[in-house]
Amino acid sequence: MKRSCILIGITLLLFALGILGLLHGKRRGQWVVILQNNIEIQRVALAEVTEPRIICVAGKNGEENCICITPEEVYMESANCPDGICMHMGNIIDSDAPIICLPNGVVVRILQEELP
Amino acid sequence: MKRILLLFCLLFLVGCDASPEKAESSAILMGTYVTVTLYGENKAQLQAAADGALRIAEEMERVFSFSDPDSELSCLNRSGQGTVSETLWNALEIAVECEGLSEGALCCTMGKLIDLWGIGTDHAAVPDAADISFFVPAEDAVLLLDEENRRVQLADPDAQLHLGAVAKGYAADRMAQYLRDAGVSGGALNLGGNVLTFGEAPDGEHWTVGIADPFAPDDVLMTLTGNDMSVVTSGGYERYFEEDGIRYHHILDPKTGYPAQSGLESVTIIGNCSAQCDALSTAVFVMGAQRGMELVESLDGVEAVLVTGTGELLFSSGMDAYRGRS
Repeated sequence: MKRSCILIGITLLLFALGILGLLHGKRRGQWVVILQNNIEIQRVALAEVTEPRIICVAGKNGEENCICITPEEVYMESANCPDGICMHMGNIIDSDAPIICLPNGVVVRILQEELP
Repeated sequence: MKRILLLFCLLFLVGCDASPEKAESSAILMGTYVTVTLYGENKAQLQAAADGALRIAEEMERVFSFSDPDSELSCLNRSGQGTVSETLWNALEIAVECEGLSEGALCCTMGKLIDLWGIGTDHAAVPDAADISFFVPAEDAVLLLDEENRRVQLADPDAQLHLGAVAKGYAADRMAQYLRDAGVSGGALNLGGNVLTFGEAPDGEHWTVGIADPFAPDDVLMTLTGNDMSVVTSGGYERYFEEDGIRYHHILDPKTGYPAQSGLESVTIIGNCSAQCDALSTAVFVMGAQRGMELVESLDGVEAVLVTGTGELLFSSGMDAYRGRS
């Protein structure tokens, strides 16, 4: 009986540590990837973002998209595209769905990747 | 106590269940965001196949693009005639067949009218009424097709081919064929409003595809379940602009030259051929609920979900086979 209790305790502890590890690992391995015309132009490690950062992407014909990255949020701050749809796509930090600006050819997505 | 330990072990085993590997590839192509999601056993092979499928979409863009002056379609529009590739010919055949079935509700020779409105571009504006009526397609056939030689001729110099109503669907069919030939056991392709699923779903059962609520496009109106299905939605909510408080959407009625006012907010077509579903979704949107549903009912293996302007949902007679939860 006593040995069984110890075994359960160890199992629960390992389980809890595993969950903590997964959560921690996920955050450490999150990247914000910015693509323009299907070419990756910038990759930002979220673990290194400690305060809000604005990254602006300029196109050849005057297109401009500004992406705001904070430790908690990634969203399109401003864009001069004709429809403005990308600015209404909200915060994608916990989403599989990217921010897509079709007219300006800009995509912002969150990439889960293990650190080397 | 042993039972509890056994339960823990089982939970861990369930957690370690060998779910299939997943690979994804995406890019902006053909004027939309194309996503290829594949499931199988070997992640590296899946990734290579997903990237290969995107290259098919790139090829399709080089054929069908209306805005790229170097595309095959643009070259044909400039010369007014020529021998075309098998890809362009096949897509054209599907579009022309749908033109006939829909009694002209779909028209693939109104490129200049679509360009005039510019909906979805930075020059979208309501054109002059005289310009609209000038570019409304003629009743007479302006497209002359020589099947034996795959030769196309535009008889009217003011007519320009625009295959936007069929190109993405045709691309989806070609991409799926490539992936099947590559031995991929299951996957889903999403080309904007065009979704195609093939093979085994990751849960081993059915694929689930959501239909957007046209009144709140970020919300799912209902889900469809099935295997090897193409689901294509056309709606006035997809691309539009507003002028003087009036919304002008991108689905033009070939008979009036203005955005179709058929009383429908969206049309979803389900079938086996994505190109046909693509063409039909546009045609049915223009035709309206009654005539559109009659057309769908006359075709084998084709089903539809129509959403009217009042929010009413209309289903074709075979839709029960696909209906998930509302």
